[in-house]
Amino acid sequence: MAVLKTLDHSLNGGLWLDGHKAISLIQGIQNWPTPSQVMLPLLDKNGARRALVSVGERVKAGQCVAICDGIAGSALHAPYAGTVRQITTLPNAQMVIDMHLSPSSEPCTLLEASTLLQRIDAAGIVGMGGAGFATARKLGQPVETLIINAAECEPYITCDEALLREYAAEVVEGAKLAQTAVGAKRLIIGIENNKTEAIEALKQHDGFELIAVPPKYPSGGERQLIELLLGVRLSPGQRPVEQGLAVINVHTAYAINNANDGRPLTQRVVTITGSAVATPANYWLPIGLPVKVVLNTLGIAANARVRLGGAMMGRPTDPNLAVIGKTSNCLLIETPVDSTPVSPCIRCGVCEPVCPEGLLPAQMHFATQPFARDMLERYHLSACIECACCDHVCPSAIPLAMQFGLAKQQLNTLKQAERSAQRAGERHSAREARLERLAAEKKARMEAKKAALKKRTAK
Amino acid sequence: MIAILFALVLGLGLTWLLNQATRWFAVDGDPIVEQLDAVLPQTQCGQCNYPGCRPYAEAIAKGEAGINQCPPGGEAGIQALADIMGVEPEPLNPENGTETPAVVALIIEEDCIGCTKCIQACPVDAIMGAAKHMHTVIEPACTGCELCIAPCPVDCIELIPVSKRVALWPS
Ligand code: SF4
Ligand code: SF4
Ligand code: SF4
Ligand code: SF4
Ligand code: SF4
Repeated sequence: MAVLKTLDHSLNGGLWLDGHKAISLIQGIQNWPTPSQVMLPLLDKNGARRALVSVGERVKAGQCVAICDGIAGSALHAPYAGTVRQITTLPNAQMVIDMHLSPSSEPCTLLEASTLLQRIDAAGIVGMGGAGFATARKLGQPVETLIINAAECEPYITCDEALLREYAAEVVEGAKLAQTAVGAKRLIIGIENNKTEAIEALKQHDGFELIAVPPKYPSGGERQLIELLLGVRLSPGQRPVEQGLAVINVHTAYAINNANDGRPLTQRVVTITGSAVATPANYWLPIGLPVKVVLNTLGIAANARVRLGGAMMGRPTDPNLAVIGKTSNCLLIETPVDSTPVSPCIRCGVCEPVCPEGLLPAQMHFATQPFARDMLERYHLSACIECACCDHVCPSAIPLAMQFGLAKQQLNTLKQAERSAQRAGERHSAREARLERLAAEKKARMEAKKAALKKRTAK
Repeated sequence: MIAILFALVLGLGLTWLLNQATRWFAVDGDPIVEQLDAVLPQTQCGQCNYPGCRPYAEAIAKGEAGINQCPPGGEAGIQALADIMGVEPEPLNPENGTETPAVVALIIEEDCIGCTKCIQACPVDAIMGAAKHMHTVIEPACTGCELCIAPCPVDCIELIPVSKRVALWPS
């Protein structure tokens, strides 16, 4: 029996938000009817995948259909048996393997890999809380302490909580496997103190520290949770591994347990909620399920506004193009309402105290319009976790977090270009030096030959 | 009297200090050339009429070349050069070329006869191969300078837009 330790200090900044969580927890996790089509996404923010199947090919359930050559990306598997209809690029630049599914009695293909880390890699497991970074890579670096992030702090999202209520044993098992893989001495599960049923379920198991944190948004941010649980504040840009820490999400731990049994990651729990959904609930959705199929199946009006992710960190999405990915934890579907029009910043300053990273959102806002690189760097734009606390309180309804997200992308692109230009410059001067050296060597050889010839003729 | 002497000694002392300081903190090379070279795109394509970015930087520093001769750097590049030189930016000189989307070279490997001509042309050693063997472009190292295109006797090198190559995170 794990003993619960409750923290009474909350994070700096952040917001006490209305949860809107109970509505999707009334029923347990629902199964989704097998669809007739999936679109398996080849691109994600952690790298492009290479398709291993060709058009017309028959694919078995669980078969690996694409791999990623980059180190941060992951492999992709077919959730069901079917035939590849096309490999195409959608209008939003997403490349997909479009599969038509046909029922098959063949069992799911199991992974073949010897070590646990290899199985995690082969199963295509990523950080399912949102980062999407390959878990095998993260767990490949030894750390002292492994934290399981169960502090699902976003309003509306309950997929991790639902998973813990029903599958606490599997999550704990996966967490322990991950602990063995990274060789961590401490295993901590950090959870918000209002998730009572999930805490009760976790208490039935042991072998870890169970710590409850106050339900203040964004306690579940990686940096915030580390500070709450251990009192360690990461400096801007510092990764947890540099402090001997690793954080994985509840659903990732669950997927690790599956991978250990040879099952690839092909489905996940997704919270489908919002004012346009008649019966909000959590569902097991296959990776690659088109969002428009979800809307059609649930009979949701076509004009509904869809966000992929929660109310705070989620992004508005075109339901006709979006597909469920490994990090899609929530579909927040709302009936359209007139939103407050955006007006200019009045420098009221209310956005500052709520920033959990201690940034100056208003200053950063001015530095993004127009993009002023040195200002943005001075105000530590890259430390912004895009939590949208500043948006939430802004009386001018400025989409601050979105602006910061775009500016971060722009800054990264610039830095990337600078790095490659620098490398090109270095390669160029190395080549010039080599050509010069070769020419000098050739000259020296010729002169030596000439001298030898002179000597011989002189004799 | 004492005040004048004091001021004199202080003045001389500080002059000496300043002199030493320039010696202690001296920067190797010409700092203006370094700064200019750092903002040039390092494509090494020679469109500026100089055999690479560094020679062009040297020519700007000497006042021999204008700041508007580098097409790959484009408008942003000219602005950066203008800031360093303390002059007004001017439009790109069309005689040097036009600003085009970034490209990388791709060798159609089945057609390559292994003549090594492209290797010799590439200013940044971005091509790998050996005589009478297939050649290939090391994609992340290629600056898209196009210098390998003309020397290839079988025209088996193509330019592809970088945007087709890089995985774009769908927005
Ligand atoms: S979005 Fe960025 S700036 Fe705004 S509160 Fe969150 S961390 Fe601070
Ligand atoms: S809350 Fe909005 S209006 Fe107020 S200072 Fe911040 S950005 Fe400006
Ligand atoms: S045109 Fe620009 S990129 Fe090309 S060599 Fe000259 S300075 Fe370098
Ligand atoms: S491979 Fe061709 S285009 Fe690319 S850098 Fe070398 S010469 Fe230029
Ligand atoms: S120049 Fe053309 S044929 Fe010759 S080695 Fe290069 S790619 Fe092959």
